Order: sequence, then C-alpha cells, then structure tokens
Amino acid sequence: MRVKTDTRRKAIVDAAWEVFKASGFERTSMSDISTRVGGSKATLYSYFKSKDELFAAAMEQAVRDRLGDAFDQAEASGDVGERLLGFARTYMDMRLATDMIAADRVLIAQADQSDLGLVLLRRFVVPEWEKLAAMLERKMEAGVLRQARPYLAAMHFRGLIEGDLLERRLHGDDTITPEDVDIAIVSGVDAFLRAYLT
Amino acid sequence: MSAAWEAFKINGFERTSMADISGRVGGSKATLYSYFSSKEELFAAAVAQAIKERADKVLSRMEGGGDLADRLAAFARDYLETRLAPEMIEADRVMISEADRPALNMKLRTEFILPEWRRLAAAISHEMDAGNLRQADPYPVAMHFRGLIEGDLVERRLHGEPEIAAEEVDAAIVFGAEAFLRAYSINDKTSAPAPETQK
Repeated sequence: MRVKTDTRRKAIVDAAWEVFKASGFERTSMSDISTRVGGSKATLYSYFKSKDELFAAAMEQAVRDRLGDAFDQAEASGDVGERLLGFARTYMDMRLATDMIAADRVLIAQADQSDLGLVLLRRFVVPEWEKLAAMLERKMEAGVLRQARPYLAAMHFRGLIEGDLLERRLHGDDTITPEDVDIAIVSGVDAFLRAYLT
Repeated sequence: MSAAWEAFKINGFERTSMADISGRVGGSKATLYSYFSSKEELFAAAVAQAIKERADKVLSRMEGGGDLADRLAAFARDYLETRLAPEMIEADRVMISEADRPALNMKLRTEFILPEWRRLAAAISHEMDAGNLRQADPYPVAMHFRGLIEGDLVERRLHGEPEIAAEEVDAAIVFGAEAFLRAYSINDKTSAPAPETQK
C-alpha cells in the first residue's frame, strides 16, 4: 500500500468538500469522491473508513481554512474591545457562509439517526470556544473584565453576536445583508463589554 | 392539527404520512386533503399552532408587573423549557432540513415566529419607557436577551444532545438575565454590584 501523506490526505479532504457542497451529503458516494480525486475507492478507504469520517474531516478543514487562528489571535494583547470585534467578524463570516450552513443542515437533519453532529461539536467546536474562554479568564484575572464563569461568558459573547442570524440562515432566509451582520457584531460586542467590563 | 402534531412528534416528519394522520383523526385522506393540500402545509399549520399556544404563556411572564429581574428570569425559564423540548427541536430540525423549500419556512417565520419576538421587543420597549432599561432599538435588544439565555443550548440539542442538565439551564437563566441587566439596565451598578465594590 502506498504511504499515506498529508498532502494526499488534504487533496482528498478538499475534493470531498467540493463534492459534498455540490451534491449534498446524502447524494454523495465514496465512489463520486474517489473519481474526483482520481484514485481507487480502496485508496480512499485507506485514509477514511467511512463517509461520515470523511465528512467530519472535510468540515474541520473548511472551518480551519476560514477561521485560521482567529481563536488564538483573540488572546493576543491589545484592547479587548478591538480583539473581540476582529474575532467576531472572522467568526460570523465563517458561521454564516453558505457551505457551512449547508453542512450544519446535514448534521442537524440526521441528528436523530447519527451522533456525527454531536461528535463534531465536541471534538472541534467546544475546544475553540474554550480558547476564547481562556482569553476572557485572563482578562478577568487582570481586572479588565469582572469575575464570572469564563465558558459561560464566551457563550454570552457568542449569543450576543449571533442573535437570530444563524437561525434565520439555517431556516433558509437569504435576505441577511452584510450591514445586518455588521450591526449584529458591533452592537453585540458593545453589549458584551457593558455586561462584563469592570 | 393536534392529531398531526402528535403524529409528527412520535414518528418525525419523514416517517409520518397523510394516511397516518387521517387514521388518527378518523376520517378519509380525501377529507384531510380538503383542509391541507400537502403534508408540508399541514406540518406548517401544526407547528404554527404549537408555537402560538406556547408563546402566549411564555410572553405573559415578561408582560406582567413586578420586579424586572424576576420577570426576565421567569420568561427565560419558560422560554428555554419550550425551546429545548423534544417536539420543538424535532419541528426545528424539519424546518432546517426543508430549508431549500423556503416557502414553507418563510411563512412560518414571518407569520408565526417573528410576531412573537416582536411582542417581546414591545415588552422591552415598555420597560425602556418606564425607565427600567436604557433607550435602544428594542428588537435587537430582544435578540440580545435571547442570545444570552440560549448560548449554545439550542445548537447542542439540534445536533443531538438528548437533554441539557437542569443545573446548566439554571445557570443559563440566572447569568443570562444578570448579563442582560448589566448591559441594559439603567441602574446596573445598584442592581448588580460590580466586583470592585464587593472587595
């Protein structure tokens, strides 16, 4: 068997994401993906043992490509308001992107038959929010923010900037404008700072 | 509609047929189709009815008199109990998976979901006029309150977490309402002392 390489793996993951985006999760088979990558199904299965596993990897890669190190950057020094604004913008661009919404719909639609959505949430999503919570905790220790439960404060931040935008996108509302997102970010960060600055 | 709601609750949208529902109601499929032209339309009507029944109780918590912090907490508790309930999560999953048929969802959103949030915004506007909350555009403020109490709880339920522990719901309510009052109350420093005054 050929040696598995990171480059090859990344090529498979990127191709898979393109196929999932174009055809949807249900209608995509492992054969479609191996045709796209240009290898055999056996090779594909040597990297990923199921379509679920490949979808998880593809989604993780797509999230990482979009978010970059936004969650780490939020920790850098500087004005907490500026940091949170920059972070909120990167996060919302990722969260509301068409392919991310499509992927989320797939996971939610099959949530009563598969635990893939929950696994992804715990494996990729929670650790990212924990990074933001760690940053908020440091600001609490430094006396910039009031003492509170850091992870819950991160969830408050998230709820304030998301408002109903995520739900509207998930329900198929495509009337959200870039200004709507800007307003949500600015007013959400403002409310967060009012609630948490000492 | 109640029979349809029961059927959707038990079997989910995909596995429920119009025949199942007419069986429950005890009439013919033809009669059922004379009321609703499709399963989607019947589903929309059943969800709309369920929202209406529940929203009225939830919103009345906020609209009564008394201490604002208590009313916010009472609203938050009833709202989360409704929003995280299995049948509402199932209804939401159907709406989300049917999102490429926007007519169904947009009707539900504009005619049944949005008006309830506007009613919360009106209650918040009333508190602003009464001097209990600072002046701001009421609808976004209502969405902030909602975001603060929901956090990631709805997302986790939608993705299959079977239930949220009672302590976690309690924390979402207590700290969500606290953060909301700090952000929007006029007397935020007196109703919720800042950490330095406690030292």
